[in-house]
Amino acid sequence: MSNSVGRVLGTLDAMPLEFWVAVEEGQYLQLDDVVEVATPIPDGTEIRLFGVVDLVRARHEGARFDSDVFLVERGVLPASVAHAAHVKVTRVEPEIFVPPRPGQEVRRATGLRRDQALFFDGMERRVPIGLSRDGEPVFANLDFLDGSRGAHVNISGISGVATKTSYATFLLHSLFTSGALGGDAANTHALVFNVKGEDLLFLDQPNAKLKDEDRAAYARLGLPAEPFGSAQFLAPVRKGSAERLPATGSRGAGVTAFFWTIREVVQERLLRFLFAEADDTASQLSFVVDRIEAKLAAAAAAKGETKDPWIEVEGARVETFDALVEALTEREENEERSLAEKWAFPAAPGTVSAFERRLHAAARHVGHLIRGKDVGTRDAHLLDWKRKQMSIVDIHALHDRAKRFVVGAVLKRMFEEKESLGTARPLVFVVLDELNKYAPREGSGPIKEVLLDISERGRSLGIVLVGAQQTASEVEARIVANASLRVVGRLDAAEAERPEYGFLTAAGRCRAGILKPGTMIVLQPEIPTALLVRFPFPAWATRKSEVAESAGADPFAGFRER
Amino acid sequence: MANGRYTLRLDPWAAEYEGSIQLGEEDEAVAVDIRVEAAAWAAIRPPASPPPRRIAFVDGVRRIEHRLLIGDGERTVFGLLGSFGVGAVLVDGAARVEHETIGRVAVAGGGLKLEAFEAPIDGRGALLFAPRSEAENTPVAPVDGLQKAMRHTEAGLAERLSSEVDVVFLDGPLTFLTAAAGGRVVGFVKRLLRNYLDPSAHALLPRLDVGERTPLFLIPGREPRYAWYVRIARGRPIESALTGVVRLEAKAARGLEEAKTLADLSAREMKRFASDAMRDPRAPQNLFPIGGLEARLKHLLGDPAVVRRAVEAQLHSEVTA
Repeated sequence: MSNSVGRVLGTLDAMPLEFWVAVEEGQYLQLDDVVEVATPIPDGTEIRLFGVVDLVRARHEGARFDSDVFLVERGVLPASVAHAAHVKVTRVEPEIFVPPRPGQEVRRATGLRRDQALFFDGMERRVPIGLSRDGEPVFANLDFLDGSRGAHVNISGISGVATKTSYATFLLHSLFTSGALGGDAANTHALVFNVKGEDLLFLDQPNAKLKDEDRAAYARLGLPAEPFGSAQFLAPVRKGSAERLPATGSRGAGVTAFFWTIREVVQERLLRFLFAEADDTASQLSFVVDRIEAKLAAAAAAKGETKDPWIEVEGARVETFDALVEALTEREENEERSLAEKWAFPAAPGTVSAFERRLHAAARHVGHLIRGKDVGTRDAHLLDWKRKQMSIVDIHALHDRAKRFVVGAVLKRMFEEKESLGTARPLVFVVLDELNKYAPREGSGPIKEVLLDISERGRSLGIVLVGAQQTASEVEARIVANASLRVVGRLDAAEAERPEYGFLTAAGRCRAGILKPGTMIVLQPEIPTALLVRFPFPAWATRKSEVAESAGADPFAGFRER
Repeated sequence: MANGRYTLRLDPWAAEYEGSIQLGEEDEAVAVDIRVEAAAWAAIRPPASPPPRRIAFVDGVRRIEHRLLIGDGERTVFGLLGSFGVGAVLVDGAARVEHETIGRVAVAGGGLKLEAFEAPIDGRGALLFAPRSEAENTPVAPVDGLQKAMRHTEAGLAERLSSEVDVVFLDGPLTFLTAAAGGRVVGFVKRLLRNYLDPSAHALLPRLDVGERTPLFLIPGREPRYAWYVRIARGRPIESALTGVVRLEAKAARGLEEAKTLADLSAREMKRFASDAMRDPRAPQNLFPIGGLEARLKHLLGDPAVVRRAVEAQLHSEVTA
């Protein structure tokens, strides 16, 4: 088989980085096909240009008017149909940038040639990131994911149809099971914040709806079609539950409740994450928060031990968050000023009352996550991402304020821990959707600072951010720009026109508007053009109804044995 | 403004072409026999019949690349370098251009025998002008030579195709068809040049309806032909009443019956190929397939500037050698 599909057009400019192909009769080229053309230069060197088809067109030749098509169809006017495809060049070997000579034969690139065209040949450690439209695996270079040369993934797309979380989960599955990480795989972790829906709560269960063709897709990618083997599920403690039960949704078993002790919040200076959305008066308010955090930390240090959940403020033991709020904001009868006002001095009274207002609001939504008694065995309720390979932190049912607190507190603790370790291993992938809430383009805040830290320094600390959002234009530009892997699912047409998606060609933008669930456009540093990939249906359950029935899940199994 | 004394009507073709209707009253009618098919000289509407499966239209285009002045001893001989293209449109449900051939000739008048003229292009190929000579030495003689070269090629293609298709419409009269030509070839004359009919018979032409034809008439001569007129389209009221009337002819040697079949077929079929003024400056007589074919062939002749430059470069190298 010659693979020849046509020849370089001479009626439109052929250029070193893009050219048109006239498609031969009996052949076809479709979007995303990979092609190559060899063109000689006068010294005898043969230049090979590789590229990806990003436009295809067909038109009548010999017809001049739109209505000629009717005459042609009636067999009255002779005209022929000409097919042409536009090729975006991905690679030139050797790197002599000359246009392909019009008339040169264009071939479909397969096998090693295709790997060459897409730079897969140079990837020593490659991670499958999906299948191309012709069913061939597409790889990403692990060097750009694990921090060696780059890190971070950013995924954009409309909620519900863009399958952002599914793709992020698929990427993790691929990272863990493809073997690209080598010996590090077992010691690599992922911390996934489940911010909406419950589709991540069953990913340790096989998907009963997985079809044979899905299994075949996994096989082509060289990945096992199986659920995540090592996963823990963490949910916030239930409101008012002295027994520390997790606030679980549809998943009943195997969920760990997590919370913070008052002492931890104070000592680790997590209080600021209760004020995360306070952009407007940021400088003033953060001054107050800083002061009060410092005072509280001092109070905590003065009385009690590290393992004690409570602290003492002004001689009174504080065992609940409400008590802490009260201690800070209550005005004694003979006192004009609250404790917060005293501590925050010389901050303006208005700023302090803003602080107090927010603290009260926070108490309502976040208070139950911070306790000073009934803490049980502390270890059992710690949010420790190192315990399993996958840690799913389910915060979807929490109030926005509480979500921010959890994300901020968890990331800060992790970042500081990694910082003190000083090594890039173990590698941890942090999956966070709705990035626009945590690191909005405008303004600043404590969570945004942590995320920016991760985005800018996480590479060397072994923290890889897999961020997702509906619209990249609403996310801090540095975070988007720092991502090595830029992924786009279904996009709103207006959003697709924004400069954040400059890597999409005009045709790519149009396609982003019609991408089906399970299809993404991926740009990676080594390949100058964004590639369209399909990723297989999850091999793990994404809802309760998909959980495969098995003996272990049978609630009556135990009865029979007895 | 009608004034009662005369009527102003348009020739339907664009003015840069010679008129499509050139029948003058000075022309003597050729002695033809208009009674060969029917006793009555009246319009004939052919009976309905399924359309032929395959029709071919054969046509050619030509272009003078350079006129030459050839020094031959004491005398100067007129000549030219010309290109022509010939091809066919095959209609069998779809219409497509096939059998395109391009010829290039170096024509000299005065019976002068030239050698082939070769002009390299782009270092990769060369244009080869085959020699050809005309007996006369007048400025128009070389043009005739080019025209004849094209007509011969057209006739050759029409003869070849006639065995493959139901009918071949050859653009122009059948003059260049060989006497031995078999198959069903109809000559299609889109410009009314010669008066074949006397005024009383001629009066039928403006009255023909679309899809109607005149009875056959016999044009005698060395190669006698049966001819007939067909109206393939009706012009606008401001155009001549002869707009859309074309003349067709078939070899008389193949018999009256076959000529009648072809005449009926042409009256039935040709009207659907009539072009419109928006698409063709010689509408409606220049049929759609012919127009499409001509455009294709003109394209295949190559860019005239490239051809001219190649010829000039070659001559230049000969002059300075």
